[in-house]
Amino acid sequence: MIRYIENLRQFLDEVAEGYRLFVPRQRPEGWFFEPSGGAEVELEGYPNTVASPKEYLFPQNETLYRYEAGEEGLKYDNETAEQTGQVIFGARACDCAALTRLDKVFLEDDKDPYYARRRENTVMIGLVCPGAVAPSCFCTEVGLSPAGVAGMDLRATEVGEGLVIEEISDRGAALFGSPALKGGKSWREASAEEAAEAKRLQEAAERDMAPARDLAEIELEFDSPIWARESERCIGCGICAFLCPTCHCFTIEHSGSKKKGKAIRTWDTCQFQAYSLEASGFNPRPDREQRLKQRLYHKFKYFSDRYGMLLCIGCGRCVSACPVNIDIREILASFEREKSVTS
Amino acid sequence: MQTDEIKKLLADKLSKGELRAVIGYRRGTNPFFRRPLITSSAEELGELDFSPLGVENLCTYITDTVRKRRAGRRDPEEQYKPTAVVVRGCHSRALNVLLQEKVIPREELFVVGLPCRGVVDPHKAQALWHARAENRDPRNVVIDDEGLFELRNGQKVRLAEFEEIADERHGHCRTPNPLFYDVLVGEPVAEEPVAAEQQFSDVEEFLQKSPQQRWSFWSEQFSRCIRCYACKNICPACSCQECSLAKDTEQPLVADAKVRKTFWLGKQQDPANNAAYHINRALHLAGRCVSCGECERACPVGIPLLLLYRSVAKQVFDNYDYEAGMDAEVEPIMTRFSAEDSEDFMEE
Amino acid sequence: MLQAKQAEPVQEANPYLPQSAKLLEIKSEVGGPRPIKRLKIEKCFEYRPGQCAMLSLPGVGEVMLAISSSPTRKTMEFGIMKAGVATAALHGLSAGEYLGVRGPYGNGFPLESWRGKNIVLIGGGIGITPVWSILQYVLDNRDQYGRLDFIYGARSSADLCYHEDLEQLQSSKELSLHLSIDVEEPGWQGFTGFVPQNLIEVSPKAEGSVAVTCGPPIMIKFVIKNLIELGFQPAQIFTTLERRMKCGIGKCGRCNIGELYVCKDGPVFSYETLQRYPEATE
Repeated sequence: MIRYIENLRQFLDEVAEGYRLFVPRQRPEGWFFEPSGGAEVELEGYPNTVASPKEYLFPQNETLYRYEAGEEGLKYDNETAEQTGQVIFGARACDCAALTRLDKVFLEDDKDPYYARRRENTVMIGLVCPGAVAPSCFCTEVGLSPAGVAGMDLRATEVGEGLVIEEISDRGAALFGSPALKGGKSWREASAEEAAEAKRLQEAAERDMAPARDLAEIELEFDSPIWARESERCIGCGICAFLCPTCHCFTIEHSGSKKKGKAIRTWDTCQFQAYSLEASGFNPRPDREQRLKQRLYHKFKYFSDRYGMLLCIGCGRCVSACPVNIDIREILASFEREKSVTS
Repeated sequence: MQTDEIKKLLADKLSKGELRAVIGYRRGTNPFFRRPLITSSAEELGELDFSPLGVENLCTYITDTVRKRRAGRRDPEEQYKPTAVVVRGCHSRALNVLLQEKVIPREELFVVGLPCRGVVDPHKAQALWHARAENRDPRNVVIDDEGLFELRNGQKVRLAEFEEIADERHGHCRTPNPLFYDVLVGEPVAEEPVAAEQQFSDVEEFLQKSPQQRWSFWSEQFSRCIRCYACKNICPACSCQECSLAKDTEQPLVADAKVRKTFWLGKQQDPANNAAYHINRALHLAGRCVSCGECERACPVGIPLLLLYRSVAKQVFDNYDYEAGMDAEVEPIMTRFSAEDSEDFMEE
Repeated sequence: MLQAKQAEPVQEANPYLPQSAKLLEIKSEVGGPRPIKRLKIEKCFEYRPGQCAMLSLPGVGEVMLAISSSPTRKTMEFGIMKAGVATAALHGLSAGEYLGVRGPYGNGFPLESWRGKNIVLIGGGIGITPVWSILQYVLDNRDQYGRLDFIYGARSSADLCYHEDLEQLQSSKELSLHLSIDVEEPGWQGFTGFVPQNLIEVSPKAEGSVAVTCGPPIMIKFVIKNLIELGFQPAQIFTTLERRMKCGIGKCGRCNIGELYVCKDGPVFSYETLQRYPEATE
């Protein structure tokens, strides 16, 4: 069924009765996802959030297990993973598509039970973009769309004063069968006109972002001088990786004593020098040049070689947030130019 | 000296092998600020930009170069040629700090002083653009001394005055003109800077709140920190080869695992560890932070770091009558003591 | 399904969770600034030669190590050089204490496809540990393989690992042992010189053979060069790579070489594969 929501606040208020709800909120520093009761939602002028919603499925810190030493050996206990359902409302198409990449990493082979649990219990209600929402958006250049549905459970399009909601997955459809929403007080079936208008807006958004190039086609060159040149000004922080919706590198550290403690997983990044530093002192990527190369290659080659899709989803956060303006779109364009010069 | 002459002078020196590299600003792909240009190629110097959009404290690349040298990954031959660096007033103070702390000798610097009449706040400029531009294509952004404009059909349409996009956090600036230089871009700024006693008016209101209120404020701010370490990495004063607050991110000089693994902080991004990181770093910067504001500009989640660091700077000033980086000849304040030092804080 | 529920422990198989294992024996093999100890622990799971296990030291962390023993043996064995905090903690253990283990990880050596072939093992120093599993496996399945040559060396005789076993194997007819030390030593009866040089001395036949080499990167570089000179094709040459690891299951991202994860797609790689990855040789 295609539904229409006249009053978003009323709808989200009902959702919050049965689920933990997260909605974008404007702070002086920018837009961030925050827990919400639903009724205070205000999305006027909403572009995209500063940090991606990946933290709701893959938190920055997570206890994996606890251990305790005893007479009979070490006891290892699974940590309880949250079971309560959560709804993320307002995630953009790029951030939802990012989840299909994380699904590949965490759910295939040796399924990660922590991610799996959260993924099953999360409903992603994506919000269609009116076009490019930030100066650095480039989702269409990586084969995605501002109205795309990859990774989404429900797709919301702003039509008139309210929103048209389309079911994308079973999980999304099931949301409307939940006790909180079954009554249909905050939603109704959409009219044919409303549904058609949603489709028209989605198509207009795609046209607005018609891509100038296909970044999947660009061939990176391992020994290019571009890497040294672009990495020279990199300050080696973790902004690009930590804001990125698809970066999933992590470390596991022990916290506690020999007798009792826990293992904690935290986000890590290939941009930190010690990321791949071995105990012997050998580091396969000792300089920023190699680490920048690793980042670009991982996003545009290694991941697609392994999983068949680009890891970069074109949200542009790394581009706008880099304090020294390292721009992956520009780096890719340099390779495109180099190739056309030599071919 | 006019900018063209400066570019020519630098190109000349570079071609003759008198400079190792030139560090300045150039246009990038972000229309709201300039990007660092680090080059040893004279041809690229034509790109040098001296507009108010050049906000980065480029001295951080001097610090960076020295750290890399200490780690032994630079050609020893290159160590002794000077590096040219473009510095605004506050940046020249940062250089003084590096000179005071013997991080780099004066002979290895060729200082291009840039008198500063204010810089753009890229976040504010971008927000105003987002709110007021008709067509948000970033290619239509024009920013100059007059303000923020949108190019509509080849015409400049004003969206904001310069005052609206200026970085107002620098209202306390004590050094609009660089304190020392080898060559100066244009004319010095004529206006008198803020007097020493008035320089902390921006933090005074906040510091009047009770300790509990301030702790509550900072706890909330620190809880949003994602430990990306951009604040630390972009700071020129952070020159330690092994940062005790971020040992897990950088390759140490010492291969001994025991030394490497004595972490002061956990890697977890939680209120306790985050607060420990920020408070420790703020104290490490006591008497060394020059209020350039880069930490706050770089912070992706907008933590008001300048307020934190200037709160500490005010205490240093109030207690010891000392401002960071004003004089390269003086010993850094935190490395010395005198019997006359204020002991007010110990009285009960 | 999506209702608020009480928090429950994760039920599904958890690939990060170690199991408890008793340390049966710990012996010092090599002393000095980079000591090597040999550990035997209870066998917790089946594995193939060349696979690795994550050893977990409570309160310290984990380290991925090649399982040095063959699965045909009763216990799991590791040869460990003290390098970082986890290996230091391992060195500090006593027999009877417990540690965590999870595995097996990695691809292991393709021993099935090597049946009938001559096996040439070339190791240096601590590099004995992965090839030792092949040596034991071949000895335990002797009739399935051709010649077995073990070319092994270290800086000095005191740096040779597993020296008790090596002494016993000297007289064995099941394999040919070719030991070497880098520098002259009174009383040394074997070859004096570097391992790659010893390889040339031994001059194993390339036809119908596979060569496996592990050891310091510089040694591997010259061993491979000499193997090629002896007529070995890249597809006949195998080595094991190592990288810093945390998850061991190809998720945390850090051990990659190109799109390959050393923990999952390796650690065993043929030289033919490695030639395609510039990152592997950097």
